[in-house]
Amino acid sequence: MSIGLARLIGLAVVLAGMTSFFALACPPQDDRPPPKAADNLLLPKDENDIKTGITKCVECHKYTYPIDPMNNLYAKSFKSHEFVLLGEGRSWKQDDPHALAHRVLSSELGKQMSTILQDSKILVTDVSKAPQCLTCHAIDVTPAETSLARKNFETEDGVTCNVCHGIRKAWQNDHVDEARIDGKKWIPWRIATPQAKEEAGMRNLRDPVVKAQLCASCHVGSAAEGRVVTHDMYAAGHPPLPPFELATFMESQPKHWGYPTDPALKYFTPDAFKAYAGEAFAAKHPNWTWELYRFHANEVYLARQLAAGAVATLQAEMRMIAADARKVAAVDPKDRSEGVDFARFDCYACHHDLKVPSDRQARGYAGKPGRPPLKAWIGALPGVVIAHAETIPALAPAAKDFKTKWEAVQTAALARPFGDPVELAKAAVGLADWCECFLQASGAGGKPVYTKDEAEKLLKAIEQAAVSPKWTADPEAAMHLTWAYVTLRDHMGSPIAAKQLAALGETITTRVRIPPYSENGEPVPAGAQIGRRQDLFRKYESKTFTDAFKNVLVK
Amino acid sequence: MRIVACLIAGILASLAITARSEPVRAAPPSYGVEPQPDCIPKASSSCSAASCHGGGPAGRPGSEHTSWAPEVFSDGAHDPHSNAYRVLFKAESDRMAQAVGNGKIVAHKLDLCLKCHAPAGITDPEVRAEGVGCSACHGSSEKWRTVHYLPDWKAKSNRDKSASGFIPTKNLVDRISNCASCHVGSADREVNHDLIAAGHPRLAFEYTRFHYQGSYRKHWEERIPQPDFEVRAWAIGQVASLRAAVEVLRSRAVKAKSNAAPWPEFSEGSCYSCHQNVVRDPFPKPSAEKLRGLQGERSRSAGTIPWQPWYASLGGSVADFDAILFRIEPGHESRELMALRGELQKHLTALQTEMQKRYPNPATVADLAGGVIPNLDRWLIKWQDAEDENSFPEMSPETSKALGHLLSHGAVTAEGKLKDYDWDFAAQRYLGLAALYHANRGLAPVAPWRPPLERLRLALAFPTSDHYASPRDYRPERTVAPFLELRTITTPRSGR
Repeated sequence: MSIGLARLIGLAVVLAGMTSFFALACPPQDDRPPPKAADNLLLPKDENDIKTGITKCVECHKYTYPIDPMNNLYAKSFKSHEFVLLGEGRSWKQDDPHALAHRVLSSELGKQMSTILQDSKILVTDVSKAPQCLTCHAIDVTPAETSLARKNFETEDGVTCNVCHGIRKAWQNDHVDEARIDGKKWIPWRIATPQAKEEAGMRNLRDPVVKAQLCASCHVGSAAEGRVVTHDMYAAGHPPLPPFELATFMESQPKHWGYPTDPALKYFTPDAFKAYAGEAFAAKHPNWTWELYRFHANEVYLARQLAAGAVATLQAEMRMIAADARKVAAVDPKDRSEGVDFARFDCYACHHDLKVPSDRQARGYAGKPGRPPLKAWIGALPGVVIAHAETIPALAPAAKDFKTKWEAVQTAALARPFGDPVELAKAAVGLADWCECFLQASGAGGKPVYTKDEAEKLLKAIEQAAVSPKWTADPEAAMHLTWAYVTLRDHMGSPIAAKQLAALGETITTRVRIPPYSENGEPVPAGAQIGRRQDLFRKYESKTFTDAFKNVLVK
Repeated sequence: MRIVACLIAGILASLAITARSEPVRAAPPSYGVEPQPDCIPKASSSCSAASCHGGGPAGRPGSEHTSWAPEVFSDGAHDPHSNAYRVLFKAESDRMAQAVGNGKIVAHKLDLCLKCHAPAGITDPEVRAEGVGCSACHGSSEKWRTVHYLPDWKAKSNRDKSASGFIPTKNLVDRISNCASCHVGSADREVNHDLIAAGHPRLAFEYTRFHYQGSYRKHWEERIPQPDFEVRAWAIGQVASLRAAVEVLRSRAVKAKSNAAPWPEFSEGSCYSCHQNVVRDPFPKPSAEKLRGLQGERSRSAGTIPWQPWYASLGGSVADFDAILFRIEPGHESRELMALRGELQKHLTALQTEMQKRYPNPATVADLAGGVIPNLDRWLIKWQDAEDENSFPEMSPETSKALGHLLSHGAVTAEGKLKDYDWDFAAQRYLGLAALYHANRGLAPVAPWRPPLERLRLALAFPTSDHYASPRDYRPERTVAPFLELRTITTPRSGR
């Protein structure tokens, strides 16, 4: 056994141990393990168990739509087009900015960042090679490695299929065919449990919690995985990370997958499932949609994604804050030369042009004036999701205590400029753990929650928050709620009329990314919208926004 | 042998000092820079008798009080100091007081505000109502009120007068240091970031800009003629302001050690390094403009907040100002002055380095700031003496030109890049050049400065629309060409 392999396995064991050690005592849940625990299964068993390229994936997932069921090999032989879209790799390559993730590091902006960060002795190499950048911009082929310096990356294709779906070769080979259950019995891949798929190394992205936590680990950050955009990086030119809203980001990626509730994916209907899995299997698994594919046919699909995304995002931010605050708190105040990084606070509390009279002064401050608060948007949507959950008996017990936890974080953050690190670390961990319990509870019991009625209530609650002075005072919070609202309304079949949406779009961006997604066969970079988004921030006025938003409400 | 060598070196050094420039007096406590003696302030009613300071036409001797008082003349001009207390009754003042003072507080009763808005009247309502009245600038008059018109008093030195609580404002070091104790701050007077965020305007003191602001009805006549008055006032203002800023910082850091003050204190940083929009449309296309490498030398790490570019970017150049004002040729500076220059630079650099860390350590900052203050005082005392002894050389056109060259040359590198892209850095240099231009009434040698100065002004101006109070569209690189032009214009034909 090579030293590298031994280290890999050793670290995997340590990580697995740590995960179980930190497993939370949450309210009763279903038999599903906590989502992050699945990460252990995703770790490669050895160096030969890693596969990162896209060539193999694109061999099958390359087709243009509509798929011709009579002539497409996979459609014709396996009805694959009723289970997946078959054009995933093509969409990714053509429309998805993840495909540019590494290339952008060599752009003019990337070069600028390299120069500044190397001059500032923050990086020792350019951004296209620096592990601090590659943890998000490339494929980490040493996911068990905790030291950034010892990590290895594949950089050729940016954030490819394997980054999200899993880099282990086992599932990439198996998923076209069968899965091994309990180490012996083979069954068709499609009807294998998420646990069995994870054992082969495939991340269960059908689970909104797993997906949300994975996306948030880059789009918000994860100190544990070395995925942190620091204030230094922003100052050197890194584009401001937009507030992460899972449903909006899925729609704007644009998604290269279908929702199981889409009529085109016929496999996810009782009859088709029965036909594929067999009568006996179907009879033994009456809750198959949830058990195997983590959806409920009578739920509004994106409502659950949106809710999980909001809470997982809050959780990721709290973990980031806690990691930073803990680092600061570990140093005796007498010797302290670092504070909690500026990037953990509301960027626009500082980064705005000054005006007299000032909107901010007129609206007042949560704590003492002049102390940067945490990002307001991070609590806006979770607040709505959790308040809604409090009205649902199945979720109400898990939803309690949110306000106490949230207020503890705010108090610690505003106790002094950049927070009281000891209290902040404690409060942020408390809230992050609380989020984990809530996320686990949201799937517990395998019962539907976000039915049409409940999704409508959630939509209404988002609507009310979006025009509430509590949030309209902050352009990012207003934008985050707007994104959630526009996406959910679209998904629920009552899209906002183009004229009103355009008028709202004059006050704030209504999507994180807008078509065309592709130019000359290549994805349009995610940065294309940033200039306009920031310009609107600069001009933002809560009254104008509120007036425009009120015009798009369902009458 | 070693003793002999030391003696010879000492003799040579003293000869060098005598021959090359005036010695710097060993530092006795300066006056005016430190807080005045504990005297009881008196209301201005004792000053305003018609036969004393309350008669005659505005701005003429004998009318000091009436010129200061807002209600006597209604020519549109006024002395803003007389309104200082009244503004505390405005609704926005109460809003600020409530925001920083935990609610239920009115500004006109809050010590934090009164310390500058009615500095002599914290405890005496009669004096308080005057706002910044006679005592605030001339000193509490308990010990000199009844004698200050007598020949004996007039024969006293400023140092002796100062011992009675009198502030000799004719000495520009005294005057400006006293102004700075509010307009910049002092150990117990400050406008911190909490207060600014609550609505208080930023303090950005530059003496000549304040002195010559339109509609400021002055109650005195300057005895020092132009350009000498303004050139000296500008240079002294830079140093006295930096001194006050460091004193404020030291006091903040000392309090922060025991959590008695916010820390890090953001008003120590450059306002517009944070208060700017971070991305412009289109993004990231105009990278050539955005590249800070083109905008200026990278003198700080990415993401660092520059410390006090308003006060420190020029105030620390006191040794250079001194050499120009006293016409000391390059290389002829005495060893004593060279040592002073080196000491100040060493202490200032150490303070700046600490303050530009992500989290400046308050205990370290307090120590380092404490090291800077006496090193600035040594220069201020030298200038204070020169003011008292009337020993400043005449400010010749060459003096203005040399200062202009120092300011413009110091703005850009040999490669034609800005040395610092911060707005404050360029704005202070512009104000300095403008003061020199104004001091010379726009005539030779400053007449050709006007076009580049005008371009600098436009580059630095805040937008005139939408009530902007920050340089929204500031592009540092636009100041490069005017600075280079000014550098060329002011370059001496030979030598300095």
